[in-house]
Amino acid sequence: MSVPLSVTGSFDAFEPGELRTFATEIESAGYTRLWVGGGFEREVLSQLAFVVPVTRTLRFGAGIVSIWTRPAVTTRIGAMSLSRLSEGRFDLGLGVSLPEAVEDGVWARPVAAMREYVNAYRGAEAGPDAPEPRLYLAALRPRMLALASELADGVALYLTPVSRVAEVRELVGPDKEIVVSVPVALGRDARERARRYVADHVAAPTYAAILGGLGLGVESFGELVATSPAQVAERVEALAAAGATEIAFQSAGGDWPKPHLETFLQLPA
Amino acid sequence: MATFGVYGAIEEMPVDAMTERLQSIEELGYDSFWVGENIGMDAFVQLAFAASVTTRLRFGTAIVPIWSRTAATMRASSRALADLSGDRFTLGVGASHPAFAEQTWGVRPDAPVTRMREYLARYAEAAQEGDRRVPLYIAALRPRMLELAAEHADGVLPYLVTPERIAEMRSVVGTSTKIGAALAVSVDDDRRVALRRAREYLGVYREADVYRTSLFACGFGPDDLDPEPSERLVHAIVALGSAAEVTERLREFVEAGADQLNLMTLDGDPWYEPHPPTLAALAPLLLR
Repeated sequence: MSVPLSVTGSFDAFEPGELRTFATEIESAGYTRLWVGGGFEREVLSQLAFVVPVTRTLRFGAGIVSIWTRPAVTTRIGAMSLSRLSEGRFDLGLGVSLPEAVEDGVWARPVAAMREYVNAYRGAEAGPDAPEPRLYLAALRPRMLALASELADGVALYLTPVSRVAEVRELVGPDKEIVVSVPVALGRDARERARRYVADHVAAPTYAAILGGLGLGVESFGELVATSPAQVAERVEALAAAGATEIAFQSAGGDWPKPHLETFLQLPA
Repeated sequence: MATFGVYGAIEEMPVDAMTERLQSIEELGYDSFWVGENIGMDAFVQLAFAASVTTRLRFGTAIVPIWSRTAATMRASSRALADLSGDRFTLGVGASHPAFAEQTWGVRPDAPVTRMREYLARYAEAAQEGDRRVPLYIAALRPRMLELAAEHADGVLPYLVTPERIAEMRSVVGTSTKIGAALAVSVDDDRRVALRRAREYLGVYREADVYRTSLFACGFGPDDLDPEPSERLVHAIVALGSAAEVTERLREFVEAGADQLNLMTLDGDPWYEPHPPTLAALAPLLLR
């Protein structure tokens, strides 16, 4: 079974030339899409716009825009602008981020807030004429997954083991896209790096709680992070069988959290 | 020595034409390209694209309304532009217009100067260690906003003003605050053609309260706006005529205290797109 393979990461620490090279290299390597996440330092949509002119076929995704960062109409304008400039190569991911990552007093009633936001985003008469971007919601828990199933084109899953993806497919139904990010650490100290990657995430209470709910913790890094090309191939196969429609590799090695181009170039795109 | 930039909208062009237009503005030697943001294209997205297809041209927003993003997001956007363009970015923010703000973002900017002051404080708090310095300009026409800008910003971005008004603003903001004005220009050896274009352009603003108020403060009256812009108003606000005459008029704005003039050409179709022949006619006279 074959699914589109993408690359995801936070590019806040990239020099401009490095970012352009990264985008052109993964395009040449055959990847379907570049997802840009993070955004705490550099706004996500602007980063994508910067690499649009140096690519031809690569698709783009905002992975994700946090709904607390701007009114829905502004997100609509930004998303339509990217769709226009990239001539339809852009899709939008929206998320509620983590309470611990959002400024005080703003994070509240995430599912209701997301429902309101998506409705406002869809209903806003703003932004240039361009192909409608697909809409993905970052979802980990049942209520957000149900909302995505109702209002969006798909879900973007993070830190999610294969076993959980099959459950998500049950929850969202057969027609929704499921993008699963797969962290990859290659090389001699791959397992050490995989462990550190999971430990860094578990430091955030929300991730700790969600992983805990799935019976996972730092020592489950083997289920979450792929540590050899053979494991990557195996993971891709298993995720596709479980219902994933797109797999986004994230580098957990190299200078994590900085995306490591060589890791992506070693994998089969 | 004043610098000359280009202000205009390229967002309706085919993408390849956008790239060519930006590159031609750069090749002609203009200092910078400025865009506004309302409900068309995202200014940061557009300028990040522009930064990627140019090497020297600088960019600015004139302006992004403060209601459009949280101050932390505004900071992340300006940081992205400054980092990716290699320090070629200037942030211009404004309070927009009450009716437009309410319609678009559901806010009622009852006290724009106070809201701007609060926003600038949050924007300052959102700075991170190692940030590049991004010049900050504020759209300002009236004394209190000008004073706020003089205190908290690097410059002001007035619009629809005369040289006399620039001189008054200079006396309010002092010598260390930059004044960057957007200025409409129409180059045509047939003055009647230039005049007609200028009238059509100014007609757009006849019903905008903030500009009416500001024009009245420049010494114009309702007779200058209704039922159509008077010749006196047109000649005061728009630099028009031959390239030499336009250049002469632009010098008067510079002598009055403008540090930066961003030219809005009225001669293209549609008029709000930067018109390369006009820019090419003025470049040898202005950019020496």
